[in-house]
Parts: sequence; structure tokens; C-alpha cells
Amino acid sequence: MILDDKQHPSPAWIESLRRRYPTERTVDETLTAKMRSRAGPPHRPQSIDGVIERLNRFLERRLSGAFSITSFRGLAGGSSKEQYAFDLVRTDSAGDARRDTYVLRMAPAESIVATHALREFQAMNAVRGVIPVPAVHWCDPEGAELGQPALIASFCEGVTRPPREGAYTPRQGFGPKYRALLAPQFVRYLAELAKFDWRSSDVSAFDPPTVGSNEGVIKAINWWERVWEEDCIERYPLMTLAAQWLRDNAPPIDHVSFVHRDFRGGNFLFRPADGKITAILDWELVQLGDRHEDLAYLLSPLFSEIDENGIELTGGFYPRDEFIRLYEALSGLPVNPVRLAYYDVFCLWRGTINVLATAPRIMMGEKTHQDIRVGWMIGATPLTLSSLHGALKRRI
Amino acid sequence: MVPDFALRIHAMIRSLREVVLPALPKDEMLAIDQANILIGYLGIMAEQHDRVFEYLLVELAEYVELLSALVEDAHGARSIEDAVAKARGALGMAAPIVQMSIPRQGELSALIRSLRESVDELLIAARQDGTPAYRQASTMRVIRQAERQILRERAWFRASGFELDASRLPSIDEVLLPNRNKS
Repeated sequence: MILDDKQHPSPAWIESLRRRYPTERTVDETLTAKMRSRAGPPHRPQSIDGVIERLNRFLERRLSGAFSITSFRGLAGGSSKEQYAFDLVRTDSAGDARRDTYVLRMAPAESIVATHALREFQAMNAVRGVIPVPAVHWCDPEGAELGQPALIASFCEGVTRPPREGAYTPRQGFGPKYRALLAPQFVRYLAELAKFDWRSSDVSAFDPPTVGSNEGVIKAINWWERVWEEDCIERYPLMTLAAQWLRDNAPPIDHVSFVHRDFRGGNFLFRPADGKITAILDWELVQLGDRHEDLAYLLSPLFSEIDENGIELTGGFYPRDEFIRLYEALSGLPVNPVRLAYYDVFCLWRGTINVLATAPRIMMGEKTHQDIRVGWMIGATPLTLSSLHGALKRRI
Repeated sequence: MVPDFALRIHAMIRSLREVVLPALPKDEMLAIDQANILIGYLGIMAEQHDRVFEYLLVELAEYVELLSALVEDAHGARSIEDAVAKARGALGMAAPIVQMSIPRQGELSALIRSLRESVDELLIAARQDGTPAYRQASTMRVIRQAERQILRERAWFRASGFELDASRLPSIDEVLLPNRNKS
């Protein structure tokens, strides 16, 4: 196993990366914290009693009256955050006893994506009511009280995939019945997100880009190039070419939207009974940016499926052109093919950084509860690289 | 190649130790016993996986030495002469390999990493100070090499299940053998 100097980064190296890759404030805070703690101990499973004890103290400071935490249990799924569900039993202001289920999302020592809990918290709060998201109640962005950066949201009923048996495979589609029920909702919510006016929301954890400028795009490139430098175990010249191309071709932004950055099947819940989408999940990567990024991400072959008639479906839902047409109609915003092509390269480059650099890096440091799953995701690297190669070759 | 086998084996051991074993009911003795044996197997694989080739080379050298000595001492009946002839044939096949200077797997990986780094440095320098013609030519060379490398990687990782149609990919033999035949 390769063990390199990046496992023990010097303060001078960390500072040099900060200077070389200026980015959004909260992104910088997150990445800097990650690097400062990298040489620290590996992630070890938390004692449930310890988590409950800290959670009790955390809630005592925020809830009036007596309460109790019951049915505390770990949740499976997700590659980045440790997740638990628990029931909170208390008496509400009307004097009635109530029992609500919550989800506690905690960042491990390092994760496939290092993100700032406050960004997730603010974005979910902002869009709730426009698209279905779990209600978020509390946030501990630095982990000062809960031990690790964390967020507490309401538990939402639903499943991410129709239940199946057999070995794990990422190519488990929705099937014709659920596809018909889910597809219209899915594209509508993606469109709603793009057109949502965030300007009256609390977005203090974000540095919104300026319309007409490409500064936000450059900051985003800096974010991910910094992650590449921090995490990569070996160089990959195609990745360097891609970063150069992205800098040389960064487009100005025409409309600033919340960009989810992982809007796809597997990241929303639906009720198996009627196929109603109950929650869009995993907002950790959210930023204020260009809607084309969400669209380009979803158009990746990694998320497409072949239907019963042999037709490739974007995100497992619609043929590509139909998806774009619907998206434009529902959002009222145009899809610019040049920008879409740009963000195609960007998303493939960014996604490849996650699996080619960060995944093996955090496995090496034993920094997450999900090393085994993260290691499996590395198997997607050749496919994302192949798509990146094709996208670059067409444009260089 | 990322991830290397050591990293994957290490993650498997960790998962078994920290997640699977603690979750097994205490009275499931067979499952607990077999999970522990799995950890043992994986530990052995972690220690050996990149040394198998080297181990075989040592074994080869030792048997060449032994057989050479036996052949040199041999004399007598017809049956011994026949065996000596066969032994000389086997020694003849082994000789070129024994004489080769073959790097260890770790040394080979380090060498490739250093070559990749040099390519990267040249690309970065070319962007800063290279002529447009050199930049363009470098780009196209990298693109062409990446095409071969990515195809090899897709074949290597096909069992991960991420490919839309893995049956269209070449086999591992097909992506490795042409390069071996070149040498």
C-alpha cells in the first residue's frame, strides 16, 4: 500500500494550496479543516451511547421541556455521511405528547466529499416548500457539540429503489412501472430548483457568483483542483489536460441557481405504493451556480439506463432530447448547448476526482465508516474517465 | 493502478472487523468463526499478493541451481542420460528468465508513478511557456495514450458493474497481451 507525504501534510503545504486555489469561504474552511486533521487518528465506529449522550446535551440546549430519545439506530446507504435515525418523544406547546422521527447526519473524519453542513442546512431550508426536502431543524457545522459536523432533519418515509434481491450493482433501474410514475416528478423538481429565486433566503454560507462573470466557475475549478492536489495518489495526465481546458473555457453565468450537484436516482425517496417522490436527499454538494451543471451531471452515461426497447434513458427516465425539452419547458430557462458541453466536461472531471483521488485517499487513511463502499465506487473511474476523454477529444 | 490490492484487502478486513463481526449475534458461532477465518485469509493475501511473482523467481533460481548441480554430477545408465537430456531442456528454457533483471512490483509501480508525474509537469510547463504547436502536439499525444489506458482500465474493472454494456469491452487478456507481444 502506498503511503505518501499527503497523509501528513505540513502547515506550509496546506497554506500554499489555499493561496493557489482561492475558493468560497466555507469550502476553504472545510478543506483546510480536512487537511489539518488528516494526520490524526483513523475513523472508528462511534459508541452509540456516546452519540446519544452528546445528542441529549445538544437538544437540551435547544428544546424547552422534557424529552427523551428512543429507538436510536444506524441507517445504511450513502457513501459520505454516517447516518442515524431516532425518535424524539416530548410534549409540544399545546401540551400534547408527540413522537417524531429524525435523521442525524454526521461527517466522518474524511469523506468521499468534504462538505460544510451549514451549506446543506441553508439550501434545504431555502428550497423546502418548492421541492420536497426533509425539514432541517438543527446544525452543528463544526461538530463543536456533537463531536463531528452534523445536521438533524426530519425522517422521511420512502425508498430509493424498488426492493430487489441479489448482489449489489449500480445498474438497478426503476423498471417501467415506477419510471412512468417518477419521471415527470423528477424532471419537474430539477426544473423547479433551477428557477427557484434564492435571493430572499439565508445563503450566508455561500459566495453567490455574479451574473455575467465566470468568477464563480473559476472558484469551483479551484475547489476541485485543490481536492485533486490534496488527495490524488498518482497523477493522471488526462485530468491535468481537463483542468487546463476548463480554465481556458470557463463561461460567464447567465442565471444563478441552486445547483444540487448529485440530483439523480438513488438520491430521492419515493413511496412504493403510489410512486410519489417524498424527498430529494443529499444536498451536501449544493452551491449557487449554473443550472447546466445539474443537467450535464444527470446526462452522464453513469446514470443512464437502457429500457425494455433498448433506448438509452437519461438518469433512467427519458431519452436525452426529450429530457432537455421537458426541462426547458418546465423551468422556463434555456439550455445552452455550449454551456451544457462545458459542464459535461466539468462534471466528469469533478466526478473522476471523487473516485480516482478522494476514494483511495480516504481508504488509505481509514477515514470513513464506508471504506468498503467507497472502494467499490473506484470501479466507476474508468467509465467516468472514458466519458471525460470522449468529451475532451470532441472539443480540443 | 488505483486502488491497489493492498488497499482493497485492507478495507475488506476493516469492514469485517468493525462492522460485520460486531453485528453478528453472539450465539452465531459458525458465522463468527468463519468471519474470523476470512480476516485471516485476507491478512495472508495482503501480505503476499504483490510478492507471488518474486516468490516464484526465487523458487526458479533455486531449482535451476539444484538441477544444474544434479546434471553436472550425473553419469551412468541410459535412464539417467535420458533424464539429464530432459533436464538440460528445462534449464535451457529457464536460463533467459534467470538472467533477466526483473523489478519488484512495488518498484515497477513507483517507476510508473514517476513517469506520470513527469508527463504532468511537462503539460503544466507547456501551458505556461510552451509554443502553441508544442502544446497542441502534447495534448494530442496525451489524448491518444489515454484512450489505450482507459480501455485497459475499463476491461480491468468490468466486474464492478458500472458499465452499461460490459460485453462490448475487450477481455483483460486482449488488452494486456498485445503489449506483451510487442516486447
